[in-house]
Amino acid sequence: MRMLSPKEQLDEKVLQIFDVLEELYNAQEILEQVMKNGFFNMSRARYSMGVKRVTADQILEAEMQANKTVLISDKNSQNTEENSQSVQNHANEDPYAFPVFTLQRASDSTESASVTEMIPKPKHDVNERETSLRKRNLKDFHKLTLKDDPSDESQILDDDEEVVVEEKNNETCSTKTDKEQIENRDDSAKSEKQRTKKLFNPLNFFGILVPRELRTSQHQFEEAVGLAVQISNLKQRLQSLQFQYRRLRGVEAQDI
Amino acid sequence: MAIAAARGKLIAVIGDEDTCIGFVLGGVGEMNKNRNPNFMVVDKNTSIGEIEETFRGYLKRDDIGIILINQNVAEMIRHVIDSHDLPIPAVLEIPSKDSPYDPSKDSILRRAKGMFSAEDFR
Repeated sequence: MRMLSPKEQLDEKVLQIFDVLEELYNAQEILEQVMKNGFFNMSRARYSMGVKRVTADQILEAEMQANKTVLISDKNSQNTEENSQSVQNHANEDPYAFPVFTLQRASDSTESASVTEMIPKPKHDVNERETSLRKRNLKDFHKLTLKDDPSDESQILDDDEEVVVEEKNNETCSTKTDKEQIENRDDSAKSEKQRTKKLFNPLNFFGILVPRELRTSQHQFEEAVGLAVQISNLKQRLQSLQFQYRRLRGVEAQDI
Repeated sequence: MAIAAARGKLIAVIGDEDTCIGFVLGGVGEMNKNRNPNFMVVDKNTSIGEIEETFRGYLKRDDIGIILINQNVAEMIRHVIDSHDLPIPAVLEIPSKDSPYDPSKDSILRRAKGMFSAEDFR
């Protein structure tokens, strides 16, 4: 392969810079449009929810953890070999390395979509449990304590005779299996809570039943985050190309 | 390719109320153990000194990879942004609700423009 002269290399670098600039302008335009739609939907949500329901007050002091972070890796430019031949004086340095950002999501998009569905679920379970207990007996929890500690039995029986009647009727069914079931439910509710805590949806700062516009706005800003990372990468590439261009100009000046 | 951090770095935001709400909704918001958030809401009462201090604070924090800043806010602390030439954290100027994005004001794009002087093409 023919080695390019410094002038040809310079031309190539200029063309690469213009390509990156074009990509950058396009990406900025898309980001602007996406953010504009996001702001518009947020305003619509504010209109339907009330002005004071979608403000910074909801997020300023709130406990939160980032669902989206960026992984940073070093990447050498594609023409490293070629450049190292022309810029031999600086062979030991690695000036063409530039960081590459990769968006890292705490959960997959499918999981994040199901977060909102997951949150009411434990509440529903709790309600179900409460109603079933209420139907059977208001003091259903006593049964467990009676089983655990028989010494207290007489005391409770004296307090409430109804409990005794109910208990006798249900004695056969309120066995250890019942207790295990309740424990299992508790465990599953705990694990569910832990999972929901991990996959916290920031939408819940503004309430559980939020309007569709706010959800749409959220999706648009999620897209904006991805675009922002893409633009950051393009800017890093641009800066790296600028550096290479300056070096080549220096080499060319030395040759002359 | 060496991965710098297993968990990944945060994306910080400095901007008006809607920009911060939007990006927090987008999932970038974090409150750390010292209760320092990675976003700053700029309103009409926020002084330039406060913005500058927060920006410098974000530059020093090693858990931040990208700083998103509204272009109209960036204009207020242009000298600080221009003096930052390290690749990490990357500073990205974004449009705000009130003012659109103007590439001619962007620090990095201005640098790119300044590369090519008329003498270079003679």
